[in-house]
Amino acid sequence: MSSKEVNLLSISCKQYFYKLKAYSFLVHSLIIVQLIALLFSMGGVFNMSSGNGELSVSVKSYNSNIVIVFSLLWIMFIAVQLISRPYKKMEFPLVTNRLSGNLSNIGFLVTGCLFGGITSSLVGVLLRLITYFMFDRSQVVFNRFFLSDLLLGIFVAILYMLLFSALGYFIGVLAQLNVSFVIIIPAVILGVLRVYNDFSQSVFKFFAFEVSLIMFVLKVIITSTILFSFSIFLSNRKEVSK
Amino acid sequence: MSTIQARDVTKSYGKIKAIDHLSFDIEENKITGLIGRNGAGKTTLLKMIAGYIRPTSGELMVHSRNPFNSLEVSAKTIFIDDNMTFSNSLTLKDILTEVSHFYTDWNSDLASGLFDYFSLNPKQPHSNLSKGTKSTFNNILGLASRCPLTIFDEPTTGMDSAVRKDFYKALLKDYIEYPRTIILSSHLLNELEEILEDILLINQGTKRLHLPAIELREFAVGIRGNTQVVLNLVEGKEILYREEFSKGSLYVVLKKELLRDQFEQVKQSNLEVVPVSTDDLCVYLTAKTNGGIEDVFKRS
Repeated sequence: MSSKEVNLLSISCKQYFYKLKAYSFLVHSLIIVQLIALLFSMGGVFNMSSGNGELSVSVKSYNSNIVIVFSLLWIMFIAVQLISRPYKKMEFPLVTNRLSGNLSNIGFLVTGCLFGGITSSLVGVLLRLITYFMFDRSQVVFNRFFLSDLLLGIFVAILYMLLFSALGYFIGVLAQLNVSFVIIIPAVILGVLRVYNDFSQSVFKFFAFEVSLIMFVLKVIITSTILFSFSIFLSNRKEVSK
Repeated sequence: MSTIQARDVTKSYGKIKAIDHLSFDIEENKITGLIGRNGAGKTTLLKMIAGYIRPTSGELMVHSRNPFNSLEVSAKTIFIDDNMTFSNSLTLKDILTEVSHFYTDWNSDLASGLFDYFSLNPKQPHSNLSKGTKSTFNNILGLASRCPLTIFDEPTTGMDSAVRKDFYKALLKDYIEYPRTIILSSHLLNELEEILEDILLINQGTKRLHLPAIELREFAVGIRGNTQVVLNLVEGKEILYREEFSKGSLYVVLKKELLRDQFEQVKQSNLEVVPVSTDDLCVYLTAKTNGGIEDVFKRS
């Protein structure tokens, strides 16, 4: 009999590395999603035109917003899935309990966020390159490009992805607790968006209009931690069905 | 020391009791066969032992701990069934490497030896395997992990008879080399019988009997002969099974100990005494009615 003490952290780490390999196919979907987003972005993310009869101006703005939004949807979709039955079935043959499974899932999601945040910002650079070669250069106005801007963009994208993954994971846990949540959750989200417009606006502003980077980091990390903790708490007594 | 202790364990799904007040002990380093008909509750019981699901009531201890949600029990237990799933990103060889990190007593020589012997394709993903090959591969994981508690739930599903026999041999050889607690569940006893030390027979969620395999072989006896003579002999005794071969000829099965004093009488009455195979005995013990399938056809 093995006398080695079983350690939660070491098991979670083993599971994390196992999942990195086992779930690597999820990266393919990210690449596809980002390519589609890139394709959509080529027509200009933001179009504006005005004229007064003699002069007409049309401005097309190109940035990586669509790519980032698509990546956010990707991480959320993955987070919902990670807690679902097919993934549980891959997890449970090996040494695990609910806590270590959740911890390794969160580790995997954070890695996904890092990867998604970096790539989606880099796709933005690619988009700039494409526009540079695609259009008549005399008509292109570039914002000045600093490496620090790119790094900041990556950092913020990662944080947004973290927030969305925590939200997705929480929704996934709720959906596993009871099937009816699959219908209730989208209904509640849509309902809140329509009926409590002010509330949803203030939630949006709480994150999106934060000017201080440190405050934004704190807000995202605290919210994600709360969501993940609730997920761990709620899923801890769940049985593994066939 | 017993590896598994169950006291009044009950698991109900709604109104249906899959396991009903089951108590037993499974001793350390023994091969136990969990035998039962379809739907007897074998898988439910094993899943509780493996910590996948919780008993509704009663106490279940594995390695002196509650197995549900326990990392310690999970590290000492491996549960092999044909529901095991692995990601398509991993080839069979990858899975062996990955799984080996989780189990401290993993024997990679045994794993690769069996892998080559059963000529599995190392490049194949797990989901593409045929039913029998999947079972073979899962069983390799079960053997090579050398867990203190190894559970095989219907391990031979889909395997052909040559592979089944090889698997049993491999199991026995590795068990002798490295003793551990093994539970094999099956509805077929005849093939398993030779390697089992103990047999736990369950029926409709309750324990029917829990005996060493040798005792089970001596447990019951069959008597065949003239209906009237047989009926006189067994009057007032519990009959496990009865079957009428033809008019006037009856075959009954009953516990051997009930006839201990009457063997002389049996010989004199010109009755035929036949041994009952453990496989048949298990079927008789778990039958819902005393008759067999023949009764269905008699009515018409």
